[in-house]
Amino acid sequence: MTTLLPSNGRTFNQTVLTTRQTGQNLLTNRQTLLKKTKPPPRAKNEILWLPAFGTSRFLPRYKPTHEKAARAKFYPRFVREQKTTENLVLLPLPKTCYYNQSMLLQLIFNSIVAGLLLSAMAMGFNLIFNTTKVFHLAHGAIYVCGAYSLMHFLTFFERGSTFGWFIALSFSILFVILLSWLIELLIYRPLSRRNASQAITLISSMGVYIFLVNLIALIFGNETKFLNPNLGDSISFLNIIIVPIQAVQLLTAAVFLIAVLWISNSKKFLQVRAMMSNETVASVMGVNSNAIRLFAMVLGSILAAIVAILRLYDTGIDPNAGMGITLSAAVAVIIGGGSSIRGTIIASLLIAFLQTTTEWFLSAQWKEGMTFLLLIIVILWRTEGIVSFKMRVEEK
Amino acid sequence: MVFSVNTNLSKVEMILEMRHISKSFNGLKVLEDVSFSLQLGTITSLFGENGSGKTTLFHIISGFIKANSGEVLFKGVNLNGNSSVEIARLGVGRVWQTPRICKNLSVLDNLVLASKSHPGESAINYFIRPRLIWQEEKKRKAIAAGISEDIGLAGKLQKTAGSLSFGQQKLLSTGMLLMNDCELLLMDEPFAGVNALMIDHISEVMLGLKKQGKTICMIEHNRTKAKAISDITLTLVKGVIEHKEKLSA
Amino acid sequence: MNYLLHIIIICEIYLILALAMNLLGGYSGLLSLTQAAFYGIGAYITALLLTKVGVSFPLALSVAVFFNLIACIPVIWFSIRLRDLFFALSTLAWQIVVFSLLYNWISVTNGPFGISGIPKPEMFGFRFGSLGEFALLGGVITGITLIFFIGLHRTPLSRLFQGVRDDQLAMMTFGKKPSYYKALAILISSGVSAVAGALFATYFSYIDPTSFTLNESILIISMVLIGGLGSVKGSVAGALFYVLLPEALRFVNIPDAVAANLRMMIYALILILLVMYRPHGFFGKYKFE
Repeated sequence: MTTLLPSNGRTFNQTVLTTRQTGQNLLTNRQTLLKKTKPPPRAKNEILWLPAFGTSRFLPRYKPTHEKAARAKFYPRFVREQKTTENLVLLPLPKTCYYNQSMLLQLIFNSIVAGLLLSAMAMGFNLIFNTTKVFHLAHGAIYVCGAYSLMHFLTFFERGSTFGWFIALSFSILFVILLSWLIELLIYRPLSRRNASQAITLISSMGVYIFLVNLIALIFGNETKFLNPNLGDSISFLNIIIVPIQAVQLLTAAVFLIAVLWISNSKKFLQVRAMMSNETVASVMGVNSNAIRLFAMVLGSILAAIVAILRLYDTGIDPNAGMGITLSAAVAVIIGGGSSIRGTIIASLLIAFLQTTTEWFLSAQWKEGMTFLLLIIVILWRTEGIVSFKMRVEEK
Repeated sequence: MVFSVNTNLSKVEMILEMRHISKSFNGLKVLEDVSFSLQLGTITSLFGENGSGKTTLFHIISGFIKANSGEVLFKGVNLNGNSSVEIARLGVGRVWQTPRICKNLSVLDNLVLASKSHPGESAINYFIRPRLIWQEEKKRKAIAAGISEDIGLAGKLQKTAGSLSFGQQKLLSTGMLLMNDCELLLMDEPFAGVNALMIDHISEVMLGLKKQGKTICMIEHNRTKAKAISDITLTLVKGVIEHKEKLSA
Repeated sequence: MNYLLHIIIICEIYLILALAMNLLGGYSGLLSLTQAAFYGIGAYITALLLTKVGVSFPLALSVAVFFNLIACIPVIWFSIRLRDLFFALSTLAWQIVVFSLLYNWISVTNGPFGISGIPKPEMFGFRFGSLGEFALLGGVITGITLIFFIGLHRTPLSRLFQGVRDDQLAMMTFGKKPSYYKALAILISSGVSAVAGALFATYFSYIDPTSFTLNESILIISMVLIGGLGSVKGSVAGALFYVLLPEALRFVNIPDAVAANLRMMIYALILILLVMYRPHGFFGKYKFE
């Protein structure tokens, strides 16, 4: 039954805990709360009511009988409050997989965490793409550089000192900012001055990515590197297992996203938005496009480095980890509308949900395939309504 | 309002007829009940302010935009709904405001590219009639060389089209239309952006085309030069033809 | 001597890929990132036919080419519907989707375990078993492809492909459908990539999906860019450069663990420098603006 057990190491524990311990605990908790005894015994061949994804059409449906209705009170409210019985699906599962709706909640929680991380990445990509009009594939290289530079700077400080950790963090963020400045000054700005097409900047960005990733692989090696966060054991909350690093990810990503949203609503950001919509007009109006480009690169790279560092403590980083998440972020930006910030966040949550679900029920390798299938569908669907080539006749 | 130049001409001599063409974009009426016809072998000028719908009219004739109502008859055949490529194959040529040429191909390549129905265009012909392709290629290269002399680009056949000056590029685009052998030429500001000598040169080319029996309709802002060579002028004001003048040739 | 033959065979495979990519990117202006996908599909179809069904090599090759002609229909659809950046993105997406298929469809492609034991090609009763014989076969196939492309670039079709790259509106004005020539370019390019895939599969006798990733697509494009867009000489130069660069590094005595990464770094650096300062590449006739 490998389909129900996700391939990711961390969530395996959660699943086991969910099905074994948490389920049992909850059952006893509810019993004590409701001051009832054990539920009446099940009939031998009876199947429990459980929600499950997409399998409903393959299984027979059962109507609730009296005994079942009586027993329904002992089931969690999530199950009881289904409006129609057709929504509930019967799975021939043993008692230990009793509370599988908690798997749904776990899935939602995991995808929210992953979604917030992805939206931080996507916001950075969105900013950089819309101000510099470069399809910044090197964002993936910056991502990886952030994590590896933190690891490198941490070797200079003693283990366990929080102050040292924050110093190392600030050094690595500084390094990432410098790196992105270099890329912008040396490559993107001269190309944009020459009015290079997006194809050329895409290729130059690819070149930067290949160069940086191979440099890191040269220095640090190709294997995946982990850091142990030492934050204690998992906690459980509402049927969901939360690994502490996930909580850190959630909070940090949320804080950064709220900060970026707050910045984007401020007055100073108006210049950035002006540049995003029309650079020539904005520069005529006095917007210093060079400074805004640097600002966008800095902000985007900080976000990427933060996400990388959070991931480093969680699933580890290897030199090639940047491309996957950058492309997912790019898909999120495109699906979300290209320049709207809210759209990017919603789209990244959606993509993270899709990816988490695929990772759990299919295999981790389908994750990227599904994301890009979605991209193809969305691109084709959206250009249906966009004015066709014929109307853009005199554009160039 | 229907205007016609001469009511006792038969339909065949009207190479283009526009009947009650209306077009609006999202509620903005660009063309309102436009009707006129173009006589075979004449040069017509279309005047009007910016935004009066001249380019839209040309787009509708060439097939890039569909009119909301009305019909376009080219040589008696209704053009409604045809794609731009089909209309081009029927014989409606178009010269654009910025010269649309292949900037990385040589002048000779550009001219031969523009010729009509080259057997080398279809991939199947390479299997069944390869020698025909080779012969046609030689023929068309000779015709292109001849046309390049007509338009004044004689010595520049091997030059990349992108390296020509703006006026020469305009001439090249006119030459490409010559190669295409189309009967109706729609020219979008042929005199814009070039010096007086080149304007005269282009005017000569257009008169030469008229002598060959081709019909030209041009959008121009340079009224003097345009009136000098055209037979009929139409003025479009806010989507409606207001003024029609027949000039003594 | 064996090593020299090995290099020659690799050069041949990449030359075919470079010629195919140059037709798409250099002559038709379609920056497609699916070349590795078509290369991979060609390799897998040949491998499957040779191992599981046991047909002769020419038949396997033809079926692979034919299958690729069908598999490139989505890319044709993208090229007609989408422009520029969106086309590049959709081909990137298609490449990743095809890679996922090759990697995960274990019942057919054996997934990450790959297909092993691919026999060497047998034609007309003669088995091209040894290295020298295989190099000869590869040389003949590459020679035919080279002649095909040189001939193609002298026909009127080449003009029309370049018209698609330069100005589709001009083509429409003169009554030629750009979509027809885009489709033709993609069909020819993917068919030729299948030939390269077949050579790859039969040479290495073992294929797995990790040779056909997005990185490979990017490398094929950069190979053509460095060599030069829009000329056959450019494709040849690009392929030779790509294959011979690590050999040149070998003379400088760099340890093997470092060599692979260093080679990619040098390659990427040259790519960036060329893009910034010499967009023609070495022998290109067209620069990407």
